[in-house]
Amino acid sequence: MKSNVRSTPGVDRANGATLTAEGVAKSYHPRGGRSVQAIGSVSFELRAGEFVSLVGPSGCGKTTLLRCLSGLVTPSDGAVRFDGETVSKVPGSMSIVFQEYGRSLFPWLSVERNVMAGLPGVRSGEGRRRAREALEMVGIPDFGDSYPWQLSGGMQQRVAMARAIATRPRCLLMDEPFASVDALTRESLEELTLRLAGELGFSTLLVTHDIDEAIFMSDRVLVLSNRPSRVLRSIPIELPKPRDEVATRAMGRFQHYRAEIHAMIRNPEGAAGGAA
Amino acid sequence: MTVGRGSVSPQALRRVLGVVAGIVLLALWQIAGKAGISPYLPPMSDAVGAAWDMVTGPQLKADILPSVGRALAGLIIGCLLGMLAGVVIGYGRLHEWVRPTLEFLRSLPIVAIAPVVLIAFTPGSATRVGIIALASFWPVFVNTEDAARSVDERLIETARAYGRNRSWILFRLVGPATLPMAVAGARIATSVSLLAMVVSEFFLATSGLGYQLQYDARGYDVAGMFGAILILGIIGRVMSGAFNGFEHWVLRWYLGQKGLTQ
Repeated sequence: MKSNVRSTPGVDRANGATLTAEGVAKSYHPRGGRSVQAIGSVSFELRAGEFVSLVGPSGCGKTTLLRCLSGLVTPSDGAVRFDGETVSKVPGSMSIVFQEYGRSLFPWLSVERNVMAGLPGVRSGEGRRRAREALEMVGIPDFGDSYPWQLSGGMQQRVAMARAIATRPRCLLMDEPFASVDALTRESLEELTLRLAGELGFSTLLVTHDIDEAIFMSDRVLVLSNRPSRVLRSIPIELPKPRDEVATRAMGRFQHYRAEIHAMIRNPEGAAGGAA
Repeated sequence: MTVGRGSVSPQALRRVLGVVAGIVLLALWQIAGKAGISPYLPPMSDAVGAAWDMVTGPQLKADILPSVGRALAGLIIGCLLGMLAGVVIGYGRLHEWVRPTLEFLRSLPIVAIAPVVLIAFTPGSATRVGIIALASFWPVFVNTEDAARSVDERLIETARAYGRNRSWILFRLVGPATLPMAVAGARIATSVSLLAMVVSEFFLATSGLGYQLQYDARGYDVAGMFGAILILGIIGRVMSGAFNGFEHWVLRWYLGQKGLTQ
């Protein structure tokens, strides 16, 4: 499968928002139990138009961190800023794609109406037009009248992507978006994401447990520690663009990044470098 | 599988058998009635005759249609209120507060409540519709409330992530998400509404199928009673048939998702 992922030259990066985490911490207090600190203290900045991945050992609180960053959950300590403004609820120009697409699409709504469900305050005529446009951009223009459960997993995730871009976001957060699809579908969804990020110029934060995916997609990879999680290292990925599923992954430097990140996750003590 | 000329498909055969069994039962009833085995079992023909007289005579407009109208009105009102209360109480986590009260109210038999309500309010149509609505409310409410407490958190989070407010979540998300359970409750409510209709017309009534039944009983008009019961049975059967159609239409997304449609 030959594929070229183009990042449109001269994209207006100013469309992307900056997302800043300042000492974000989160602890839970289970009833009758001892409080659990999921996130220690995480600080970093997602710059305008940048593509950053968060990787870390399983159970390190990646998803919790993403929920804090999005404003769905309030951090116990620290602050999140979206273009300098403190986040207290999900900002209007931020979209989120969840891991379990099957559980984030409304089964009683058609695909088109699912996309429109993400557009509060938009008149239905305009909403329908934007939904169709978004469905075309994700490559499923003819499925607007279908129900989500009539589509394959990969296509359902495309619907979730369409809903995310229909809002014309300036920042996209993705929580393990491709974890439950097969390898080929995953590749095409990765390409789609890179193409959309390039064309629309939004900033992207991807949470993933897949190190290869993180390297392939990102401008920068943040490696998280075990819980209570903090940023161990920020690794700029200096691989040429456009990225190519076959050629990029075959590069010596790709292998080098992979080995470095693997070692860091296995042996966090040895890797304590500076955070971003 | 090929079916030879002149042979009958198994489904059609089964349907024919069902009809045949029904006809045999009716014939047995007719024979037993004619033989006079009991003064309380009139021949089938007398019961059908009484029912026919009711349907073709002035009683259609005076008793049958008003009864059916009240049953339908009460059923619809009860179901809608049951869904509304179920969604609000279930999703609003008010369960712990109201549960003991509601559990008690729910277990009160409608037969016991009906006379009190009829004495307390004017014994007119509106009060009877209210009694039917109250009886129909419970199965829908209990099911909806239960489902509303367990709506997938991820769906609600998605709605919040895209800036949907509380009322959208309540009525456009929790509402449809609980619909399959609400409809299952409404199926029960359909038969309960017929029961409540008859009971509501036993007291302080001057018309209606329940009134008719009780009037015939006082005069030992057994054929008349059987006629009214036949009509009630037919109304119940038609309502449950209509309900199947309604369910397939309103839950087409759910049945399709579960692979339950042909």
